[in-house]
Amino acid sequence: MNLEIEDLRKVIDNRKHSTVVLDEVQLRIGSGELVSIVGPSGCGKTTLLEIIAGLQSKTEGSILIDQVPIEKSSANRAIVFQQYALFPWLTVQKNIQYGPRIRGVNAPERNRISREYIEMVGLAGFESHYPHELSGGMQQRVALARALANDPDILLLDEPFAALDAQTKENCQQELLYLWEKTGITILFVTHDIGEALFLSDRVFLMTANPGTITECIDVDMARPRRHSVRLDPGFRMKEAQIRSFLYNGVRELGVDQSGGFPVRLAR
Amino acid sequence: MKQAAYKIALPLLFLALWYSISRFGHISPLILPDPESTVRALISLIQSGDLALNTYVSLKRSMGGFLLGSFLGVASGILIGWSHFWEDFFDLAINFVRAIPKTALAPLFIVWFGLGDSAKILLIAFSSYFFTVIPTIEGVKNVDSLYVKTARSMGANEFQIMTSVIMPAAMPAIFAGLRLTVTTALIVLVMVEIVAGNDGLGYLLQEARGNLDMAIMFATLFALGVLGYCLDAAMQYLGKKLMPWRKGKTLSM
Ligand SMILES: Nc1ncnc2c1ncn2[C@@H]1O[C@H](COP(=O)(O)OP(=O)(O)OP(=O)(O)O)[C@@H](O)[C@H]1O
Ligand SMILES: [Mg+2]
Repeated sequence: MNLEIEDLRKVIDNRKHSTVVLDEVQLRIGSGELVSIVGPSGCGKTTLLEIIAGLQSKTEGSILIDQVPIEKSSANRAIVFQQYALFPWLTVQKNIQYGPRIRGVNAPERNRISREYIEMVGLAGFESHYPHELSGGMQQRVALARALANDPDILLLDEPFAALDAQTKENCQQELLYLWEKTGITILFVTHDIGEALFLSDRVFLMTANPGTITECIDVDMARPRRHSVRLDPGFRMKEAQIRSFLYNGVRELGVDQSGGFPVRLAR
Repeated sequence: MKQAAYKIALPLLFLALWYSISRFGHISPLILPDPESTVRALISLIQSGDLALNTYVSLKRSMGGFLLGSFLGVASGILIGWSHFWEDFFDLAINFVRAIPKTALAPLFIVWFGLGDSAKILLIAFSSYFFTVIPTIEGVKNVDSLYVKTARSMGANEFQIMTSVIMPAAMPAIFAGLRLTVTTALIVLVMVEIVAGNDGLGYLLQEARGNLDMAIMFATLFALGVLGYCLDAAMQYLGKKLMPWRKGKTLSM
């Protein structure tokens, strides 16, 4: 499944003023690719994902999937939010079955699907638990399984691991790669974390704010399957430094002090 | 076991206080009946069938009004909370009529619908409507938009979002409203039976006052207490059945 975004622009009008959230966004993702977008807070990453998912309208530009313009939201584009958004009134199993149920899949088939994905994300034995009875990492895996159970062509992930501790985060990243290799799905992954983006992706897009736009695309030509030890690799470290400098340069041009680590926001 | 003893300690204390005041306090039984005559009055009400009959009549009215009013309240509340169009349309009307104490409408309803059951049921329905519609609107508006977005991204249409997301997500708020509504349905019921009844528990109270029979009055009050308690317990039970995910989710430790 190919995703092509040309000259995407998004303006949000409030009562008082209108904000250009996204401007001249270009993005191409090939079938089966795993690519990341890295950018500071507020640069429009969530907005971009929601527009691709069909949950927000665009102002200008085109979004094509396999050469066809997208219309409203559809089951072939799944999105997972940073806050998981599991339905608290449904058990793990029923949460995962939600998409198939909406599409009118019959009960035996639904059960087969949920069993498959519960197995895949390693949650066997937790089928009848409610979300509030699970840890953060487990909830994240349910959210992933729920998105995958709809058998989408592209998976849009919005900082899915941001709320997890370092170790759980690394496990989840490893599992995501495993799921991706197993399903062959196309993944667009949004994150703040440069290391995470490099570890997971074929390519990393850098985004800057005001207005939000994609400024760089960095190829990550490291062999797969990857393990966490590649993070110590000199090539990996160099790419990391390169991305960091791109983001800092953006800050320097805007005249903001660059000594304070990763910029929280590129204010103009 | 120890907990049960702890729970009935306060009621027992009240009973003892009541007993000693009525026995040693030189208070006329026309003001305060003693516990024995109250129990005797209760037994006589049960044996004569008066209690069962009047409870049945009252229950029928209050439940009829409650079911009618709260059904309409929940249904329209979901619609109003969901769409700005209906919200703006209903906003002023609902908030204005809501501000009128429902008991103040009793005379009007009696003029319009007579002294029979229909005026009573409609008045209870009317007040139940307003006690459910507001929490339902709030409940629907407070549904986390991420749930709606998630459902929509998985291909749910508006109707499916309404039934599979909005309704369960707003259910706790709606149920809290319903529980309050049951109690208020009883308040309106007793009031309207006192004003315009020839049967029902409210009427029994009014009749006891006329006969200066305080034991019957106290026995009836007790019966009303039991009725209200049972209805509330039934609502809580229903809530637990309908919202199993809320079980074991509590703020206390
Ligand atoms: N409804 C809205 N009205 C006005 N501005 C908005 C609205 N929604 C988002 N924005 C603006 O759009 C910009 C991008 O928001 P978005 O949530 O997409 O950022 P983000 O890159 O996902 O940030 P984060 O990394 O913190 O999640 C922000 O500057 C925000 O102020
Ligand atoms: Mg975001």
